[in-house]
Amino acid sequence: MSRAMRKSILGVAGVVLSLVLWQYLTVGGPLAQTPGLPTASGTFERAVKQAGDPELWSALATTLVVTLAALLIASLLGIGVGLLMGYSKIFSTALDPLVQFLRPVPPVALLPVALLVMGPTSNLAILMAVVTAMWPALVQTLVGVRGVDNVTLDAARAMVLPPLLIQTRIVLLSALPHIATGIRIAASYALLMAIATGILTGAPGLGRSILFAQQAGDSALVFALAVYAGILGLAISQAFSRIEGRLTRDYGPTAEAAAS
Amino acid sequence: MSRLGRVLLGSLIPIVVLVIYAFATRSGLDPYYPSMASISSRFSELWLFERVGSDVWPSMRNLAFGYLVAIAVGVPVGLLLGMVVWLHDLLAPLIDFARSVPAIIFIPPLILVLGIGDVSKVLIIALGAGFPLLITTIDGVRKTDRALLDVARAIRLSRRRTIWNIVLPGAAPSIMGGAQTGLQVGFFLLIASEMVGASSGIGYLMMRAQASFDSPTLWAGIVLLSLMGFVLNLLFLAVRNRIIHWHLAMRAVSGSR
Amino acid sequence: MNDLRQPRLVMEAGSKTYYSRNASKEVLAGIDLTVHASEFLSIVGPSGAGKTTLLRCLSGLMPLSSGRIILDGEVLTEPSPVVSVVFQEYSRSLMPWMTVADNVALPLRGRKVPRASVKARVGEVLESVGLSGTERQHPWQLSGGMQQRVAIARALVTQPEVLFMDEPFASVDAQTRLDLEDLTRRLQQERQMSVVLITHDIDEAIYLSDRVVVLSKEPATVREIIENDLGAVRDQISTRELPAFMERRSHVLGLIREIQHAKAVPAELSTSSS
Ligand SMILES: Nc1ncnc2c1ncn2[C@@H]1O[C@H](COP(=O)(O)OP(=O)(O)O)[C@@H](O)[C@H]1O
Ligand SMILES: [Mg+2]
Repeated sequence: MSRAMRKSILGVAGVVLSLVLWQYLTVGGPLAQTPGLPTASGTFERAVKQAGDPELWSALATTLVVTLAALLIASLLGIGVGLLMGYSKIFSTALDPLVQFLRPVPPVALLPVALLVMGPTSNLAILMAVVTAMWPALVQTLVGVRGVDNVTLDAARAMVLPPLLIQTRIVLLSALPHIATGIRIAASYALLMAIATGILTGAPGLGRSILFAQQAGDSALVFALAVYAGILGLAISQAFSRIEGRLTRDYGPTAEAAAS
Repeated sequence: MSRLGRVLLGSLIPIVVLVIYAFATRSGLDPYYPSMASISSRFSELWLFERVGSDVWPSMRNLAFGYLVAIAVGVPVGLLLGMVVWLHDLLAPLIDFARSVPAIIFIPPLILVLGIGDVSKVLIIALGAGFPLLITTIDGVRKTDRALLDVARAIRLSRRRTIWNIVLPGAAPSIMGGAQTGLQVGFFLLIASEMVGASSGIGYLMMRAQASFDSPTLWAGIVLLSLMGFVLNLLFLAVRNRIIHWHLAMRAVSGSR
Repeated sequence: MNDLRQPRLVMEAGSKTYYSRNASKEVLAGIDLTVHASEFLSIVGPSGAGKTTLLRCLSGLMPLSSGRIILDGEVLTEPSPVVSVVFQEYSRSLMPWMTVADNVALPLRGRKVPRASVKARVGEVLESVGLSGTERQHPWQLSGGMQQRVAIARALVTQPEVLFMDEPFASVDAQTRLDLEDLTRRLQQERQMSVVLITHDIDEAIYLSDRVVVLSKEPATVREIIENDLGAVRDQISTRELPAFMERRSHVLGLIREIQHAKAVPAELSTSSS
């Protein structure tokens, strides 16, 4: 049996086993009748039933739109500031201390004030997602631009290429894999905050659906919606990993450098 | 540029922002943006005395417990999965799914099952911080240099010593990356879990202040959380730099060559 | 004089085939080889001949596909405590998170050597490779030649009776290489170890060894074993000027050329195998 086949068979077995274990624990086992804990089959039924509900799809669509809009803004901001700081010594000196201080600050600290000013709206969700997602985009861009291989640069200078060409073609292209990594991380952060804002404030989207289900004590629905959120997360991370993989393959090796 | 010049340039933007904010809010009448004086007096009132024992300290304790649980479970399990190929294959799809799930999703189900006490907060933090640790540990262990494992066998190092002296230190830089992400996620989940129907904690106080248009408390909370995030990160970096100082120093050496 | 030699390590009809998903590659084919007590044996062969494979099998790191290895009369199935190995890529074979002293002491861990004597032995072996005073540095702070000395010190700290070295000097500069060659020969003489040196450098092999094994390629077989009595004491200048040295050098070069050539022109294959 080939390695790949073994791997997928074992993987499927793992999923099936964990579902069986869940079902056993909640039906006949030690966790049966635990309030708030639905069975595997109950959650599955609920998820299937929910698939016929247009409200679920509109919530998913809202969350996706919020996530992508925020990702776009965050990427532009993060990459823009990252390039400025990477290229210009003045900008990097001026912004470095600020970045060092703000990066570890949890963006969720802003949520209550932003909620007070904006109310529980999609714009609030976009704002929160942007302030969270711009950091990985910024940091990875900076790592990419600052980490350009010196040998490559020397070779380019030795060929007497015009500086502008060196900057755009060589520096930008070799930073591209890092930037792609930044965008992949940013996408997962944006989705996280899009849903978190819904759960915490009732802003529209999947988060709000989960909040309502929780308030109604409908645990099967909470679990079913959590599964949908997981699937959405998986889809987004797979899509952006694929883009990152392509860029990495085409423009050289990348290390998800732990910029510090 | 001189050192002084760099310091001045670096503090320019924060100072300008603060001055503009102070100037714009000097009347203290805006409902959303209170004056700096009222923020700072609320800050010292709340966080320096009154609420430390009831809200700040328990939050920090929950974060510490949750984070420790994440390390105590994530690293050994990651080690196991990194070394036992069939076990990794068995669980890979589940782990892939769990790592892609937005961590906030752990909160509602856990609250439904366990209620909103300290136990569920600790568990939420442990889950959120545990996955980055688990994944980076697996990654680091699987990337152990084959050459070093050859050395271990040639010098007849026991299994235990091979793990302790070769596999774990080699994976440490990768694990530290996960530990940093995990700490940030854990801090976020701490605040978020307090914002969802808790009855104490910084997150709870801020959401309550929001409901009653108490903007000085909100801004004082932002200041507190910013400082806490900053200090937590400094503490983390200090510990990390001790553990993998060899890696950082080596990178600095090879980078300059 | 051959009769006085004691066999320490013997490979009998050793063969090794690597299997991958849909291909197999025979790398070693029926190799018979004896390593005597206290001899300096070199194994030369073109790149990709299977020298590293041979060393990994001989040292018990990897099982043979067929045939067997006997160390002091017993069949060897795993690395033995009286054998040490210096690996090809020295920079990858040292632990960057350990100091030089900890790297060198690593083989003594779990051997129930008391702490104080670990320290003494590490100090002693570092001195013998000329690295006194580097105990508290990390490998990556040292030059390539010094890193290789650390790897040699780590191999010597267990006082091995057989020492394997896989192209140990391939990536250090020329002067360092000469120094390390002399160091190795001196240590072998002092400690009366058997040294098995793998190299693709013919001059090095002849300069250092008591016997030189020439491997053919694809698959590797023993092409010829050359007795190389150039005296116990070797000198980088005078030894290399000996007529015997130059004669053997030409002979081995000729053999290697034949092996390479045989590979390029399949028609001649039949004449080159023995
Ligand atoms: N683990 C392995 N799997 C498959 N083939 C291998 C493996 N290791 C080495 N080989 C192949 O065996 C041959 C001999 O390799 P090696 O022993 O490293 O040669 P040398 O050390 O003489 O350069 C090479 O063609 C190499 O590609
Ligand atoms: Mg080799």
